[in-house]
Amino acid sequence: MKVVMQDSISVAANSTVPNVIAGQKYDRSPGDAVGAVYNTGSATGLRAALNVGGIAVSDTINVGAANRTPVVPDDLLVDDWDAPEGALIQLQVENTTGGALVYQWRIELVEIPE
Amino acid sequence: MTEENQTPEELEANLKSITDSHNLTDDIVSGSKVLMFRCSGSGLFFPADYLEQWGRKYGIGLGKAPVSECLETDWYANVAIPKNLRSIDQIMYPVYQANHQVDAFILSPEGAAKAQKAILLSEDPFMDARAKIIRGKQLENVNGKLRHYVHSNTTPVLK
Repeated sequence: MKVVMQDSISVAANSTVPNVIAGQKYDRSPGDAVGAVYNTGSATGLRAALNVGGIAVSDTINVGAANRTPVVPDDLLVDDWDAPEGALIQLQVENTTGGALVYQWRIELVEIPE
Repeated sequence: MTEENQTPEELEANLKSITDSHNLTDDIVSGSKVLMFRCSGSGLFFPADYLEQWGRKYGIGLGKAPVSECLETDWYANVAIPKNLRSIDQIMYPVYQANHQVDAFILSPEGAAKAQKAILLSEDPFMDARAKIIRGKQLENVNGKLRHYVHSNTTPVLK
């Protein structure tokens, strides 16, 4: 089965949001799954990093300034990462600019068949 | 071919064909007229080489079609308030890249000198100058929530 989470968040100037998906239904993986993150920023200056189960899946990566709901597969940040059952998915976003920006994200988790 | 699919070189050639047909090229070369580009959203002006240098000096990371670098307020998003607030200036509506169309303008040198120029992305990479201007405009908007947030987060001065 595939589960999807999608939302947007306002990121204040010169600040970091430790986990944009905190409090979402699947902030912990519901089962052993393979995931993909898609994201966009409202303007240049956002940087994102993905950690799953305490392991860094990606370094801090510049986010594209497409200013739209993430399009699959154009707005891919990183895919093909393993999310073991119960692992915390942490998507950290940093705004490096002096102005507030909107970060839009989408996470897809595809369960690995047993 | 739509405008969006045209490369900067094709758009430049198209512009040259217009300036040539109106005998404006000689005026521009001689300096009696000045070519500038204007953001159709904000009305701010960009330099004459805006199209030519798209993707090199201007519009880095904004795609292949030349558009305005100007930012706009996203009134539909939530006001951003950081968890660790260091300055009241951090509280503002988010901004976004509006990607407005840019139009070519032929101006007199006096008009070009008076034209209100846009702050370029290359001059203000961390958005400090532009955010300050936009935040000022957000505070002027009586219908925006920013005034409420800022005033409720400011310690009153006792006389």
